[in-house]
Amino acid sequence: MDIEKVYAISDIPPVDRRGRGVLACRRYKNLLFLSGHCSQTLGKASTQLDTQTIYEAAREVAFSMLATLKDEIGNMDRIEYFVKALGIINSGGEYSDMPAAVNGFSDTLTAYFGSRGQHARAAMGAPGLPGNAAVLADMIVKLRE
Amino acid sequence: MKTREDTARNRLNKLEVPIDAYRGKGLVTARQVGNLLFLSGYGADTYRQGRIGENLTIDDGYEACRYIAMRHIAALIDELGDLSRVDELLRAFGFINIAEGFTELDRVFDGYSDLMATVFGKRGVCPRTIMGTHSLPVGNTAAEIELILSIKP
Repeated sequence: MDIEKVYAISDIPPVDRRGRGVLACRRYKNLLFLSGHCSQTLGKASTQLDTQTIYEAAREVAFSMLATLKDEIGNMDRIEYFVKALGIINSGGEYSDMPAAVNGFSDTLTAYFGSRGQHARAAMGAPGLPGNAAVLADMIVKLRE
Repeated sequence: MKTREDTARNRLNKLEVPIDAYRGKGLVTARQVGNLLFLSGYGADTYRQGRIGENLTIDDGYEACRYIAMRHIAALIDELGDLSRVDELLRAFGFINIAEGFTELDRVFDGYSDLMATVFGKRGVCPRTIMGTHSLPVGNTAAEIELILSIKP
């Protein structure tokens, strides 16, 4: 896993949460709990955004999360596997294609980590997210001993 | 004459599942796994009811989240006896009751984060996930938050 490759195809800057009373992630033994990361893409599914746009927004979230992980652990090989993700799509009305949209997040992880990138996942819709982000996801990661 | 309901009840009785004894009691304040503690979702109850951006302001939402932090701390005292046993907060997950179009969820949830940081210092600053919703229990309370934390052995 070469994080530089991730940066190379991504212009997503890491989110600096310092001084905001919030931690990007916290470690308990070999588990790493990551905060909800928002997409830079704003707006709501169904009324404003189609599934392909949200898929791309979910990719942004994955890159943002990888940047946080890189900051925290340095060497990405220290990741044993991804455990559990919660992906939330800013959506309203009759929109129900959340899993397809959150695949943008999951596909990015498996693209770089293969089977280690696979994870248990819940995908859901919410009528509002912080800053009107299109996608928010959090994650629990298992690190090697 | 037997209704379908009765038949189901009879079958249930034959299984000797003590379902009545546990009805409405599936919920506990907290569950411990090793040194991990999982706290149930706590709401602001009747302290603040309604949607932020509709009948409630951001300050109302902040107060509601602060109130939930106090409920969590009270639950921790009940569970652990002593707050010095709290190690680190690991993950807070908040549902904020919002009006359509309200997006400043971070400022509302700060009510929770700020109080936890005040009480527990750096150990109380924690990763968080925040989402909006349009309906919550207890007369549409303003917010609900669940928490995972680690405790000292």
